Amino acid sequence: MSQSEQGTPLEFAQTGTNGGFVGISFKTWFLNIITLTLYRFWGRTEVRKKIWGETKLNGESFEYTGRGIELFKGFLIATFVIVIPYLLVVFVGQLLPPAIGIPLIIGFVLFLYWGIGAAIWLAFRYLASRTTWRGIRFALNGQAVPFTNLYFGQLLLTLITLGWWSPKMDLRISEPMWSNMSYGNIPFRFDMQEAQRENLYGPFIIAWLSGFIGYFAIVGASVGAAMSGGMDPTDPASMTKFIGVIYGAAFVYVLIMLVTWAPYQAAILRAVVRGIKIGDASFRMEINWVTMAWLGFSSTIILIFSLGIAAPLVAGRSARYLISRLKSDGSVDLSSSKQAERGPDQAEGLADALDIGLV
Amino acid sequence: MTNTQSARRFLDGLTSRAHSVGVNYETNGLSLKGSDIDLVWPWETLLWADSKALRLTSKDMPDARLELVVLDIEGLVGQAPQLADSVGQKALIALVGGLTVSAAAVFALVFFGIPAAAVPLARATPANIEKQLGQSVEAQLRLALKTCQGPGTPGAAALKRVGDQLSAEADLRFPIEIKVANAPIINAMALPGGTIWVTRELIKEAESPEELAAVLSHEIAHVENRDVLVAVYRALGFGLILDAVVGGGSGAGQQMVMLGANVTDMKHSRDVEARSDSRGMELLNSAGLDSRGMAVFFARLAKMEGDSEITKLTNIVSSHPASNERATIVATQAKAGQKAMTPQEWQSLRGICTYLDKK
Repeated sequence: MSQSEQGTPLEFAQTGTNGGFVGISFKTWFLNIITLTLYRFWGRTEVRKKIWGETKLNGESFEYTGRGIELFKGFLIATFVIVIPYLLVVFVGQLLPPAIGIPLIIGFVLFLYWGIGAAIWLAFRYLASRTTWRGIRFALNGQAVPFTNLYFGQLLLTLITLGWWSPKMDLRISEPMWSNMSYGNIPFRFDMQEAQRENLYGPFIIAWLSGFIGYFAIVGASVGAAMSGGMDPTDPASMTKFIGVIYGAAFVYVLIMLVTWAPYQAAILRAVVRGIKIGDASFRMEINWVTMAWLGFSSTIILIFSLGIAAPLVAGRSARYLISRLKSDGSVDLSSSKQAERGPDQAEGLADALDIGLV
Repeated sequence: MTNTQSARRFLDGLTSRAHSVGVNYETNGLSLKGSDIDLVWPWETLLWADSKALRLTSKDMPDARLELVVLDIEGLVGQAPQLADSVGQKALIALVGGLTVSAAAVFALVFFGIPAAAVPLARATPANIEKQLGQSVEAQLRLALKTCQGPGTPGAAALKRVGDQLSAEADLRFPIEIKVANAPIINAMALPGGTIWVTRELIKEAESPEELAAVLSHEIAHVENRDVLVAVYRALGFGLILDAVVGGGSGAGQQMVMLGANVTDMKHSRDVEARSDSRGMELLNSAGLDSRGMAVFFARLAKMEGDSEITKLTNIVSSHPASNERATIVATQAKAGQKAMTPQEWQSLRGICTYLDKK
């Protein structure tokens, strides 16, 4: 026990293989089809169980203890709280005089945007509470509302700066997420100054400019195709060709964006991970833009050509990519943590309803 | 695992400290004894936390984990048969069965429930609500398109007169109001609440006022039957199913449901279009107008569509029946009758939008 009192260094490993995800991919796909995708909550849970189980810290695996029914309940709640009210507001809003209807719809849409932060916070809290190591849960403490307001404010700033605020936003929302996190009763901290040492704006300029130029290029290509191809709405052959050109251009755009955004994505991941501390341990994410771009590029190709069937495989590869490059310096005594609260018994419905991507 | 003490790793779920325990079979359950652990897990409470990693838990202590080795399993299953189903096969079959039944119910709702409910719902909707919806749709259309005003011109007067003649025999809840939209595509549409938009291009392509009257009679038939409102309710219902039930699902399953909804929608629209053609012919005939224009107009559309393979293919999934089929069918109802407009009126109507070109 003398070693653990002084703390131990942390060593991560990911032992999954691509082959190990083939069976689960087909199983999930098949069950999704016969259940009209209602199985997806259980499928997602099974994939997480597998990924968590193949992720090791100091030789001991993590365990995901979430259940499909919890995600399903969250989905039902969100359907009644968000989706149905949204459809009703949009429909009723059209029947009301514009002076009432338009503010009603805009107000509701703003409310939904405000809700994105809450959705992220609640989903992250759920994931933490269902992640255990040595039988002890992680926990996201603190309240959802301050984070929600922070997120919304940062979103507005990003919007009015045409995106230029987003590197700052990405760090500012990471701070409460990690400084409120704990493993059992051992708290994490987020060191903003350390995170800010990473150069974010260099890579961001490349990403922003390519997005900006690329957007006009794709619009230009579509308009050009419409003009030169002699688009004729009454001629299905010319319309098919036109739609083909638009899809082709969009595909190329996505692939280019994957490459040009990779430096920023790698940088923000490095920055956030750099800011995370627990005990005397700090972390490093040893990723660069080349491998990040390859991950994004190959994942997209796999998803497209497997018609989405290989989504679990892609999730597994991504986890392996990240965990195998996660390093830690310093040490922490994780051997005497006390258990944390269990957390809510439904989850992620809000995040799903607002279309926020999670693991 | 026999009654000889075999040391196993035990995590109590209270702290992250690992214990070494001796595990023994007792009549009432599995006993775990260590330096500060002394407990019995009743056989019926045992379950796998992770059967692949051989982690056992108990319903009494769901956070605790006992780490076993392969040799332990056979003896354990003898005492606690529930552990034989290591992957939860039974639970999975029950789950998938339940979800498949739910999926079948959703499918029935998409294919039969929503289409069946939309018609009575539209009939029961008060006329002023439909009118309000129509005004809101029109306001949205006006953002993109201008309507051509020609008050006092012979063309505008004739257009109104033809509309009134055709409406006289129709069972309408709203007065018909016909507007010409300055749009470069051939189209005519009935909005909710009795407003009909025909495009300038359609008037240009029609070679006689009788062809235009035929198009108007078709749209008035839509208004009479409240088809647009029916379509709105159907879209709302499909939207609810797609966004809520299938939303966020895996690509392939989602595409399948969308395709299903589209095919029902298309099939339904084609029935509605065919019925509106026929009812339009009745309205023309009862107004005493020459009803031979409809077949002529469809025949011309058919020629413009061409006879390519793509046309044949798109007709299968098109919302409108093929124009040449429509021409053949309506020809059987065609009768000679009054001219819809005088040459002067027709000339004036064809020029109703030209004032916009000068701007």
